[in-house]
Amino acid sequence: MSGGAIVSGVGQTDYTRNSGRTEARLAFEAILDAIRDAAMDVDDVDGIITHPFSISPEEIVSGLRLPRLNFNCAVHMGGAGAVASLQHAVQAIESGVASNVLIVRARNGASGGRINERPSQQPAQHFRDQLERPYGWNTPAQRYSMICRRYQHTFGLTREQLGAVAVSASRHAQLNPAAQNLGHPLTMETYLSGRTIADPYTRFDCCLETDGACAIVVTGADRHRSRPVGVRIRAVGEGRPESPDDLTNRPDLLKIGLAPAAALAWERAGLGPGDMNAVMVYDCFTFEVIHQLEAAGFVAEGKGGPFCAEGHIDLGGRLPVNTHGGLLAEGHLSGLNHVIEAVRQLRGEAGDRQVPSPRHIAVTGWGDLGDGALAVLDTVRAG
Amino acid sequence: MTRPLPDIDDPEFAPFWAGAAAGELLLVFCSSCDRPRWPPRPICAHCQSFELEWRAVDARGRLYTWTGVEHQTTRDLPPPYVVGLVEIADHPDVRLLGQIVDVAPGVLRIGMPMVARFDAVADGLTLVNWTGAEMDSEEANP
Repeated sequence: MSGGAIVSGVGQTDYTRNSGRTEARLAFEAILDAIRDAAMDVDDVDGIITHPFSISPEEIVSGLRLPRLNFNCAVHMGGAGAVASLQHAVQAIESGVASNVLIVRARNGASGGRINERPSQQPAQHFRDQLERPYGWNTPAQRYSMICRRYQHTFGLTREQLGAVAVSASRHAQLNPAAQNLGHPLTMETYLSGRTIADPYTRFDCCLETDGACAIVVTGADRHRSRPVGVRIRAVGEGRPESPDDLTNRPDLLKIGLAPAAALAWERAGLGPGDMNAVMVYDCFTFEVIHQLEAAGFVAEGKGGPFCAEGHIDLGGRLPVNTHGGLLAEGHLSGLNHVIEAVRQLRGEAGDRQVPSPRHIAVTGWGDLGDGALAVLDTVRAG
Repeated sequence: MTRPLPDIDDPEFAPFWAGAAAGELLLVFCSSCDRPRWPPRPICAHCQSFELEWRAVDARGRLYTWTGVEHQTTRDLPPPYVVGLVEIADHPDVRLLGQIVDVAPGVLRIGMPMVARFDAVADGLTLVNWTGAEMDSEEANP
């Protein structure tokens, strides 16, 4: 197939708790790594998609002395933005506006201050200031734990089911040389002893905070010659819950943006959840994995907990989830690391954690107060 | 930096804080279609009217969900404390966030009756927290 767009290059820095470098420096390291991986020159980049609150296109153009930039945008969906960015990149390429689009995430998420101390990036800040922060409700763990509580009340959910998500992520990370938690395996016993953060979330329900950067290059599928197998962006969908700027008065806390996003992506892909050989799920917390597996249609509503506890999400299971370790155990790179892992798996470059001959892999994004995105990636032979 | 407190003079919220200081729960309603508009927005999501009015409502409701915070994230607000969402009894499509006070965590359950407690915390500023309410007769004698 000659149409569409592929991920032609992927790049990353080391993932640590203290990079000792600026976010901009990290971004440029990942960008150069991705451009090298795509076998391109820096000058070939003519489109840039950034995170709204990180390094800007202007800084990247200046730092690399790019001769032209024909396309730029920033996607306001929090952590779902990395996956949603794929849609913008495909559109820029298919319309002919740009040829090679860079997507970047860089953060000093560990050394740059705790999450409650960093400027909030969520929408409708005056609601947060007026109605939420005064009561001590100001972090993702505190917000999303309330969604988890509703789910527990509605469907039931055990600590062991949540723990299965964390332990699986950790097990996968032990097979990933780049993982921040490599060498620190998590047992169920340790998981269960984790101190409470925001009940029902405990220490090990929460993802890592990470210093590092990721970058990818998206290119027209017909222009790709550098490697025998290209990873194509087959379809993308994005979606939002009702009242995406406010969690507290949303009619149903369990209805998240990923459900409409996934429905769009499956329809556009002509494929369904059952066709996926693996899925990378935006795992800011353990329950968000269970919730998204259900919202995207991988498992029936209310059945995600048992599905995870029965080992189906492990490598070798029916649906390997987050084979890199995810945000829980590889590192928090805002979900662009999930895209990179899907690319590596489809190229057959995932080493000890390789899924046998995968044909289709889905990637989900979750962000802000419940926005969602889903991408379906597959492979295309260079022609 | 101390505990973050709301600006009680914020034009979109001032009546709410004035009401709380007087021991009343005031919410925004659409003047055109009469529906509650909460949290306050400049436009009614149902009828696109810009007109609004503040009305006092019965400060009782039911617990919709909650979290028990044990890891400190707010200066001058040491855990443990419980934050919950309360569905307003007479307007079940409206929820208020507040601390759930004077209720033992083990007693908390979704759907339990709550009543607002107006807690003065600073000059002119009264926060709206929630505590357990007496069950009505229907519930007491099921």
